[in-house]
Amino acid sequence: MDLHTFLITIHLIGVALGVGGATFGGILYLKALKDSKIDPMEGEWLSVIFTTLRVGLVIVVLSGFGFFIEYRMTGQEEHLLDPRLWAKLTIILILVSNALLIQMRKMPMWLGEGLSITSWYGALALGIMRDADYSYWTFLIFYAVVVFVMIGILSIIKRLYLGKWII
Amino acid sequence: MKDKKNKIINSFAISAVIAIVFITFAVIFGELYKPFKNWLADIFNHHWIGKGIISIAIFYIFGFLCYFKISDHEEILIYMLKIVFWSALAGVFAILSFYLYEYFLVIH
Amino acid sequence: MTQTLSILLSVHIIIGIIGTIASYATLLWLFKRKIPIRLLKISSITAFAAYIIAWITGGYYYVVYYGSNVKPIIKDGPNPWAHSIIMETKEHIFLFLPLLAFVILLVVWLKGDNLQENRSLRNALALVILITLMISVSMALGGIVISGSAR
Repeated sequence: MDLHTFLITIHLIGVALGVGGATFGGILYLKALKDSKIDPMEGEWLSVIFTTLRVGLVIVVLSGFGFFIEYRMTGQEEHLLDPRLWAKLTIILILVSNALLIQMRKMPMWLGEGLSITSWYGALALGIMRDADYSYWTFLIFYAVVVFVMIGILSIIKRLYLGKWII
Repeated sequence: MKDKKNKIINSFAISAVIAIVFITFAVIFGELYKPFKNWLADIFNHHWIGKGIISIAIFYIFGFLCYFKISDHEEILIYMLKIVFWSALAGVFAILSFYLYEYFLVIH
Repeated sequence: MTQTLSILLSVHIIIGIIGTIASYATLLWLFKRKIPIRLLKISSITAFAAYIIAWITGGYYYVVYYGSNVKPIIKDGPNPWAHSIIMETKEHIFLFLPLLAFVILLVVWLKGDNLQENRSLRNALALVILITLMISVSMALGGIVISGSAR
């Protein structure tokens, strides 16, 4: 297995843990809200899921920088200034800042959830869209729009499942 | 024991501020007054190595010296940590602004 | 670039990121309902050690190779500001990191037991960790720009 294949494998494991963690964290959180409180068992499950998500994030970041090293060492420096890469980096920065603000209880959950889900799926999408040839700002504007669309979708899901608007 | 711990932290917080101020000064002064930068390069083989070694020396020397005079109050400790934050932030802005100024207004 | 320099540059990058992750973890754990002092001690010492190693490995690469081999390429390329602004800022602001990380280490190791009850101390420490984190993240991003401009 060459370095590139190894890095892709590790990176995808991180993405799987992160995207899966964000998705199931959201689903479990919603289920826990059904009785308007998070009991100890639900809290424990959420804690496990969020720990898995953070492990995924660490793997994604470390393997991502592995790619940067590979580009630098193999004469592919032009990839390091690719707008798609910088959009992905920005989204990861938003993701980690969001996690920090949620931990500090400075981020309302309705916004934090939307940012988290959109950021993970957004980073995944940017990784897949190899031929996307847009500017950095176009990617970010699209990301911002999707964040608000996602907040709307999550609110509708909560309304249908919990019977009340939460936003 | 509690007093000693506060004194240690307070003294190294002050020395961190002094070292940050020195680094910021050395960077800007070195660019404006080339003999200083050349002196660092002559003594330490490279100006950047010189700044690093002097800043570490300042940090640890003042860290030990300030211990004997510094307060052991926790309120001072909290205040000093905030000073460390603001001095680091100011240092970052000063160095970045200087190089932006050099690039856009002086060289170009 | 020799194999030694490639290894040193790679170590600088990965260890630097580990330092950034450790600083982030320190800040995150500081705001848990029950502060995990043992984990804070591990993350703070990891961050400090990582910044020292990143300093040595990056410094060697910078002094021995960057100045004569990479800098001219960047300055003659399409993004000369990548050296004149980004690299010049990065190489000097990096010097703040070991100092800040040591102060954080001292507070966590010597006053860790006080952090749970003393909100003011916790918040003041959080400020120092925050500026450390912001500097280390900008070091990483600056490094990507500099490497991307070396062509």
